Amino acid sequence: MTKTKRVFTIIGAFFAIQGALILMLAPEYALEIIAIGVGFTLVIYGIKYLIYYLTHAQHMVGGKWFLLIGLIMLDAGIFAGTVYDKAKVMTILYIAGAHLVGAGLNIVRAVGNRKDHNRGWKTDMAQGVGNIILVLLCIIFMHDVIIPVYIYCISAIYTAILMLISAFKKTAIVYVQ
Amino acid sequence: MQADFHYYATYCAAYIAGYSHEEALALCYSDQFVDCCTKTFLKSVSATVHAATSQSQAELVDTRADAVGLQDITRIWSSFHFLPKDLFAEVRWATKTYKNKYRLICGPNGDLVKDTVDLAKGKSIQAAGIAMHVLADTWAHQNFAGTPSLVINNTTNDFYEIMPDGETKKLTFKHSPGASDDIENSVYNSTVFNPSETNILNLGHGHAGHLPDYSFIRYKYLPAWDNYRECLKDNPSDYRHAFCQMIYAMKYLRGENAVFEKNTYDEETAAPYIERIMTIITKRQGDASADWKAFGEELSGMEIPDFDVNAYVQEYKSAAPEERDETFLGRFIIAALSQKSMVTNKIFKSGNILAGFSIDYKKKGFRGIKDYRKLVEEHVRNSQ
Repeated sequence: MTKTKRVFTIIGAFFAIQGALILMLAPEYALEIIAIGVGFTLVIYGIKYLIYYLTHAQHMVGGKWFLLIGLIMLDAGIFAGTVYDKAKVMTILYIAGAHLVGAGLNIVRAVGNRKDHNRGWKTDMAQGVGNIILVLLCIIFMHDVIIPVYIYCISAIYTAILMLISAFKKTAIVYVQ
Repeated sequence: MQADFHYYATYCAAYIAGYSHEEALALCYSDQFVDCCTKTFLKSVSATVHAATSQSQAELVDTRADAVGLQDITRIWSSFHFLPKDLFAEVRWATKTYKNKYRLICGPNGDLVKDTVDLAKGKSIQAAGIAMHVLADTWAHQNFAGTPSLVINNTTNDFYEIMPDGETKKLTFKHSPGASDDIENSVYNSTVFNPSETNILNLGHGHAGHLPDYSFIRYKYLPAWDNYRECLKDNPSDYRHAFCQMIYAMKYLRGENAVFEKNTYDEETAAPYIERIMTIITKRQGDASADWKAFGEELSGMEIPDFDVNAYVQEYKSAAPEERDETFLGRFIIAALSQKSMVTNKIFKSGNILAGFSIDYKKKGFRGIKDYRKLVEEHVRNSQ
């Protein structure tokens, strides 16, 4: 990892933790902020796909699909940004969906690691079960605001901590002639 | 390539090149072990995970798709399975990030193949085995890159097999992980399309399934990177070249040839056996192990045991820590670290950081991952 990348990773993790703590302090506004965030993310992804088309996919067989996907995401993001105040249930479902996908991946990993006699399978399984509990909490407390917001924020803090660990890891390969 | 070529065919090539039965066995074991030496395996014997020469599916899924994770994947797959052909290849009107991926496309007779064989010269038999794996894979895995990249490794679904009578037959692909290929009905398993540029599903030849691993097949397809040009992959010819180039390289490693040059094949030494070799290569089957094994046993008159991934585990685990580097696995680990270090350095020096950063010990002293200190110790041992 380059020094610049490390610095940006640390700054990004710092802002993610700060943002999550602020949302936890004001959960009544949090869902609208998250909805705006989702719309913003779609716009960013739309732009990212367009850049990807210009820098990479234009050289690829069938690469024009990315031009199309980029335009659709950009459009969807702008649309989501205009209806953010009516999106409470959708936002909660988005959070639940993200954890459900995470749970699926954790369990697949755990099964594979167990088959390979890798002791890490218990950690993966615990993370998978944890993610399923979060999904259930999201659905049970769908009409409550605080629980889904807390779940979203705790996930963001967890991801930020992983980013920090990654930023401080030694990664250079030594070349001995 | 699979165990049939990496283990049994390599045994045959090594024996023909002049190695004894025992040496040929150790060499072909090391060659095949490159496909088995994962981080999971290394953890199970308490060895450094940085010597990994392959990754299991579970490990690939587990790898974070950030820059560090992608560099780790690229180091392993580019160093051992998809050796880049030309680190300075040019593409018109392309950005630097695209060129960096394009330059990792694997192919035979690149400068790095010579560097790989030269690196193994004067080293252990395990180093020779690793070099033969890398060399053979440059033939089988050509046109794909050892880094996750949709724009390089993707293909269209239009694959056509060229049958021995010259007729073409359209191949069908399914996407069921773990399912086996139905060669008779031309139904093969391949990786499902994933639109993310750096998703692990876009690593190597997954979109072509196991076609590059079957020696008998000749086929046409459309790779993502070649500007709508149809690519013809003639595996029988490629596998023959790989076999003859291995003989030539191993003769060099044994000191029979003074130099190892690119585009050179020892057809002369292989000539007495070439008909038999081509019969095995062109036989329409998914696994040619039995045929190669029978050929190898005829050559040496000795039995070739089946490959056992745990054959040298006990020796390594029961050795005292300071003596482990002298065991079979210990020597393999040092050779693997050395190959990975060399390839990463060459890629890094070409201005490409997809395989990570490399620090030249001679210029800057020891910095970076501490497990590579083994290479310094080995260097000191060899200098004495």
